[in-house]
Amino acid sequence: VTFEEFVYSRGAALVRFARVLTNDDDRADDLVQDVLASVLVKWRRVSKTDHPDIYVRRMIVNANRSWWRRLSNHELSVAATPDRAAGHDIAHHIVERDHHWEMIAELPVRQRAVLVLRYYEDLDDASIAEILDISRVTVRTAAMRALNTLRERHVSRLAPTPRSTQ
Amino acid sequence: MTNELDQLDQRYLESLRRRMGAPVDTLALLSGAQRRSRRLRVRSHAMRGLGGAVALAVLVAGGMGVVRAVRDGRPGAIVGGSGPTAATLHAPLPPIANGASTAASAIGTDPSLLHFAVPDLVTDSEVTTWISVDGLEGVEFRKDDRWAEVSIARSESALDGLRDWHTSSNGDPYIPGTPTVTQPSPPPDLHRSVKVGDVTGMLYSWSNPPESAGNWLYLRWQPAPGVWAQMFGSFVNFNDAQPVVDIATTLRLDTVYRCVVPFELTSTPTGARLRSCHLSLFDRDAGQGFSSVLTIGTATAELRIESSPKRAESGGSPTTTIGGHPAWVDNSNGTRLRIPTFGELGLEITGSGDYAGLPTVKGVAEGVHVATDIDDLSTWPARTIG
Repeated sequence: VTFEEFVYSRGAALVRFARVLTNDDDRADDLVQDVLASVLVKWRRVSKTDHPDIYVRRMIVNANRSWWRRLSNHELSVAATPDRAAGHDIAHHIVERDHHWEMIAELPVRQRAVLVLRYYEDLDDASIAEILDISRVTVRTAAMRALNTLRERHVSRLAPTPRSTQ
Repeated sequence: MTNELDQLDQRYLESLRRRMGAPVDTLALLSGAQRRSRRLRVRSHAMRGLGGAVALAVLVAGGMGVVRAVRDGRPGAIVGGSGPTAATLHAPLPPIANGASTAASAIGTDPSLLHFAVPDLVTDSEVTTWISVDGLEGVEFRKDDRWAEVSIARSESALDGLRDWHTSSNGDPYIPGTPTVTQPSPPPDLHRSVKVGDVTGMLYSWSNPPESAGNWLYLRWQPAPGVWAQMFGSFVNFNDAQPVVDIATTLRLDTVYRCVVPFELTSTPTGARLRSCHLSLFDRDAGQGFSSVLTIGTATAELRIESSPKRAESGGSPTTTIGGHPAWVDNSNGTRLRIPTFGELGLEITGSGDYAGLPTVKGVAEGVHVATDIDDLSTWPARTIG
């Protein structure tokens, strides 16, 4: 497979993965282009690996870490979403969807990455562990914690706000 | 879809899918990557243009860190800092009178020693691998789009057999269990004579495949009577052989180093001797690390001891334990004992021939003494076999 074929077939998935890692579309594009530029330089070697896709994803994970270190740029917390009026119109649906994404975005980057790789990319735990350089047990733990966190936040958001008795 | 997600509000997954499903312009992605790649190459070419050997010197790493200079049989003084890739542990022997001819008789005779150096090379290689085996000694390095290896032997035929023991992968560190890459043979009609110092060498330069961006370079020369040397490598968009020749001229034969690994074997079968020592240090995308391979044995038996930083335990219930560490046995090809966590090391020991029995393999494993701090080369044992 040539480099061009690889980018055409896997590029979109790589960018989407980077979007979830970075939570910033522009930065994700930048990150993936940088990584692919490095990959192109050593494509002959990369293409000989058993799983170039996993290799490149791992480079993206590491590049994202390096990017954080280099710029001392920590992920911005998403501001709390104000309460919305109840309703079932399209606008409300979009707001709800955005809110769901915000809750996912608030997860630690590793948990986000595991969710994406496991439930969107359908990768097995061994591949995820290789990409993120963690053990399979850690993959399972991260997935479990991410789902639990989402459930808890969802429940707490639905729960009525206690009124003051004062 | 797993049960755990079935139980979760599917709207989260839908939100994730929508987020992930946003359009991506792969054409723009490709052109952007190609543009940045060209800049990377221009930058590396510019570095080379800064000055011949000095610029290409960036190819080689703190490879000096993988070996310790031998001074009266003891490890040399530590010159560099701590950490595998930062350490520079070379303290050359005082120049030996008529050193080259003296070294020639010793080259390839003791796999624990390396009798050469490429001292002008600097310490920012991504991967450096030192290899010493019966009859051959070598160092391999990688930087960006270039990799090369320098090998010495007492005969051309020994260099011809280099691919038989080559255990790294075109400049990549050797990772135990992974297939290696076969080096291409130089086409016999694409060579020319070049001067390497005072001697004449033969340089082969070709592309393989012809339309690829990378060029192969292969240089063979005699740095001293009785010594053959070879430099082999791949250089993307690189047509000028002079920097390669300049590196070759820095080869020195008046220095002896000891190959070290992050452990010592204190229990080996009777009659077994060291047959090869191989160490890779790397600092690249996946982070810093190392891998080592020792082989010991006789004409009819071999034990291969591979090490790397400890790994996650996997593969079901352990078959046995070594010093309290869970271990897995695989008998499909000889006896392979895998110990993902042996202190700070991950170990794999494979016995074959007369050493294929599990008791032999376990006996060696139980005698492994791990370095005090695997991240500090100064704590690595001076001897591979105690």
